[in-house]
Amino acid sequence: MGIFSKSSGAFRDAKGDLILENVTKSFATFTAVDDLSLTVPRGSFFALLGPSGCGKTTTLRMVAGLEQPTAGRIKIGSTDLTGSRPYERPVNTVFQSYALFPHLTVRDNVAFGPKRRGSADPVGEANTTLELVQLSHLADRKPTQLSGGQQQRVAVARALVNHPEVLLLDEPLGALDLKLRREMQVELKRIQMEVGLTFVHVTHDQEEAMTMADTVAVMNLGKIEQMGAPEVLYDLPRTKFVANFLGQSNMLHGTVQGIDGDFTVIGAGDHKVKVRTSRMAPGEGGEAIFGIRPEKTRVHDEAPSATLAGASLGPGTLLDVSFTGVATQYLVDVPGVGRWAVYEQNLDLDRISNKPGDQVWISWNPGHAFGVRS
Amino acid sequence: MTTGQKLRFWISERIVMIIAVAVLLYLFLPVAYTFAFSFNNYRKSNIAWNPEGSPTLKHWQDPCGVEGICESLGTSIRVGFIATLAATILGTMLAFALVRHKFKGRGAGNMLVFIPMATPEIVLGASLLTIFVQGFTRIGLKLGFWTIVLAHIMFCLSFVVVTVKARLQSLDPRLEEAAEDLYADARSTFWRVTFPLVLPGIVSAALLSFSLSFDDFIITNFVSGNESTFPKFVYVSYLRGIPAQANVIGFSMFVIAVLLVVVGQVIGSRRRSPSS
Amino acid sequence: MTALAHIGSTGAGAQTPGGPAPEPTKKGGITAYLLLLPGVLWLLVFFVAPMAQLAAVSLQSQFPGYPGYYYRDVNFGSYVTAMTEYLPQFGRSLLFAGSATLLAFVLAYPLAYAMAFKAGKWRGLMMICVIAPFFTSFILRTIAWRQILADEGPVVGALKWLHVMPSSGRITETGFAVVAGLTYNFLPFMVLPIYASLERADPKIIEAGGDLYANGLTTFRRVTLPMSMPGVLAGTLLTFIPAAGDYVNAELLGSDSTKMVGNVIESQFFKVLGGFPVAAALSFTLMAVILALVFVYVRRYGTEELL
Ligand SMILES: Nc1ncnc2c1ncn2[C@@H]1O[C@H](COP(=O)(O)OP(=O)(O)OP(=O)(O)O)[C@@H](O)[C@H]1O
Ligand SMILES: [Mg+2]
Repeated sequence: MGIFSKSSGAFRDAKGDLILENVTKSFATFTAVDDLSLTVPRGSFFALLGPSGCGKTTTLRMVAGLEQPTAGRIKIGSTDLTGSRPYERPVNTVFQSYALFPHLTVRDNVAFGPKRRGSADPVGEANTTLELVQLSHLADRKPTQLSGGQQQRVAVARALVNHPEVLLLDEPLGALDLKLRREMQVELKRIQMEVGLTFVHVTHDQEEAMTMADTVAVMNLGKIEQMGAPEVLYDLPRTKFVANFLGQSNMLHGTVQGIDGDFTVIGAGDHKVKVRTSRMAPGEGGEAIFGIRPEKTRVHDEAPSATLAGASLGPGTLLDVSFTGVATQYLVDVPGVGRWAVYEQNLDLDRISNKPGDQVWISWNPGHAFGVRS
Repeated sequence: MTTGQKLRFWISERIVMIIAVAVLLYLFLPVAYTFAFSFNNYRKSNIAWNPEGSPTLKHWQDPCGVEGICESLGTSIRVGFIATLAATILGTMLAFALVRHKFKGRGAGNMLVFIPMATPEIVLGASLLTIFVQGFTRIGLKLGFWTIVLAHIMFCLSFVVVTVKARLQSLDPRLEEAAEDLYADARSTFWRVTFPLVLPGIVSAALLSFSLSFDDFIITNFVSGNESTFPKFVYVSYLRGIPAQANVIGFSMFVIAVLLVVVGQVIGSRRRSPSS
Repeated sequence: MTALAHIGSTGAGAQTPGGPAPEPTKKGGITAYLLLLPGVLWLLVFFVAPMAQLAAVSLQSQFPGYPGYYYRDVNFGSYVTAMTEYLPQFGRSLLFAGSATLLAFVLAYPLAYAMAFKAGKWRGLMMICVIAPFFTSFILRTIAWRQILADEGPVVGALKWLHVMPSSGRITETGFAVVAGLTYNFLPFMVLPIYASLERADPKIIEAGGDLYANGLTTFRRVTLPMSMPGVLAGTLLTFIPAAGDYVNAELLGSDSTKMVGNVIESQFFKVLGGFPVAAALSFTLMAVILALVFVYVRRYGTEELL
């Protein structure tokens, strides 16, 4: 494309997957990112999901070159970028707070990168990119004269205009209200498809991560807990943290008590439940946690038949029933297990005859259960 | 509501504003006096209003009509310019070092900048006079124009540092990171982002320096020898009676300054609004 | 002069989302020292060295029989003279400066408050009005006060007409006039920092305070005042320090019985043969007292940022 033809000698025109190898970042005594390794395939939409303070921003800053890792390497394709300055990397960032230059107009903000790279027509490039984010009509304004959503799009344009190999977005939608957020999610996804760049998108909104990304990595305490396609992550969480962070899970803490055909049996007190052995997180015997999503369970007035042994619990006390239109949510207290939630689709309205205080049983299809290690 | 209640409500809603305007009037009262007495057709001293022949425009037609007055004004302006230039440059450098760099003795550096501001002018003046008279005269420095300049740079310096420092500290460091991320090396990051954003602080610091220097009397009085600045001219002529030309010049400086500030603000707000 | 407004700011910076702000400081290096060198050198030569010289002078002794000639010594006699003979002037300086600071605060706060929260589009104009009087030389303005407060002037006339003041009463040449002059001269130094700190305060927080405490006065005491504390601190220092060292107001508006320590220093330097050591001792004592007060005050009311 020749975009980088006039770039300074130090500029590394790397192409390929983004690779982090055993990256660690420590601040004084605190380890923000702990021996993290991951590969982001070229051209994919990658979401980094995790609670506040887990090290997402720090990871992005290391990829951008704003922070140097304490240990480990950062590569794009076969080019090692570790130790290089931010302006030497084919990586651009959309900052969490946008960080637009307040003294420059929107157009000059966007043209900033192309000018520094010595582009022949920085203003033309800026105008083209502003069209892409549908902001051409505001090009002469100063950032402070824009709404939050517009500022956000300027920040995206300012990074995109450089056609980086990797675009880093640090909670770019965090400051927007819910409706605008949904709109911008669609918009960002459209832009990513259109330009075909690698997007690394940081968020702590699980819904956002799952709707937008090809691959989601769930991060906690500086480590990647689990990584994969959104539906895989949801269906088969591999750790207790992921099971609770992505959606909600009903859990039973117990011990592995043996094998029954394709199933592993987990027991706690009088209760015994079974999980397909292939759906157990790897590990040996000992303690384990049984999990099942609330929408995969049902509520019964009577004790379920013996055929459902290992795929039911009860009796428990119904604590709360809330009707939400499409579905009904039940909260059941099972002695020795704790509180479980049940979401039932309202396909059969007659069934909402249960009242708080009633005695109920819960059942599910054993194939949907999963097991993680504690 | 009765009229009395309405009035009470009206006043309580605006009481703060009313006090504020009263305080502003209080600030302006002596300026108005200075202005009025520039038209006084006084005989011996310009203290009491002389109804005969007043108001007169004669002092306005001949503002330099008193010996030394315009020379002293010229000295004040020249001192102000040189001192402002030097103090702004030195102070801005200091502010950058103190905010942007970690080094041994940063605390001591901050202290060294702060203490001159906490020292009364008379002490600064006295100490400068002693060293000028007992030390620097040996290397040929005589009290006069340059000793005033040297002293003014010193006391303006701390005010520049404090002003620029405040601006620098409120600058979001992410802006500079964003510049670096957008292919600006250290030099262009500084000139394209940091400097333009700190510039308003530097300009305010320079304006502050100039007004402090221009209006200084106490330190100047100690270190000026036979050289006269405008405040010193006024003070010295006080005993003999201040000529109305001083009022003319004093009030004109006020008008010029106000005009400059207004023009500056208008240009500033033009720049800030969209050009389309 | 608008820049004075910055002096009240703590420089804490705008709180933006995005986790901890990256530390903007760079490690030492030669650049830091190059940036520091000229300014620090300047302050060493034109502040520290003169102070040292002044200290030396304050300890000098006079050649007996040769007034105006001194020799190097470590003689605390000048300090004794300073503290015994001129104690009243000393006390008066602190008293006058303290009163003027208090008065200036009382006048400045409503003005700063109105500018920050009530002025709306008039804010810029009010700001200019606060700064503008500065440009008429302060000596001219002080002399104008002398005229306004003079025996034949409008204020005394009005007070006598109202019988608030006895017919023999006067304002000029009293301590009251000196305090009034000091208050007037340093008022903008109080207004601007307070305004700056109020302006940065979020009016929503004050509104929330209004909801919490309902009572306007309590809101002020619990919410508004604490938020403007950095500005109040800077303002009181910027008023008190120059006021305590001032002699022009006492000279132009006062009499012999209202002389302040500044007047003594000035006349010892310029009008008394051999007065240098006593003047130096007085200067040092004044500075020591002020620095001590400032440090206690800053410690007590926070904001290390000022240092
Ligand atoms: N410069 C620093 N010095 C010390 N600790 C730091 C620094 N930067 C980050 N940390 C710490 O590292 C941890 C990770 O911070 P990071 O900003 O990466 O979190 P995050 O996942 O982006 O959180 P959020 O979702 O709130 O933005 C936090 O506990 C933070 O306090
Ligand atoms: Mg973050």
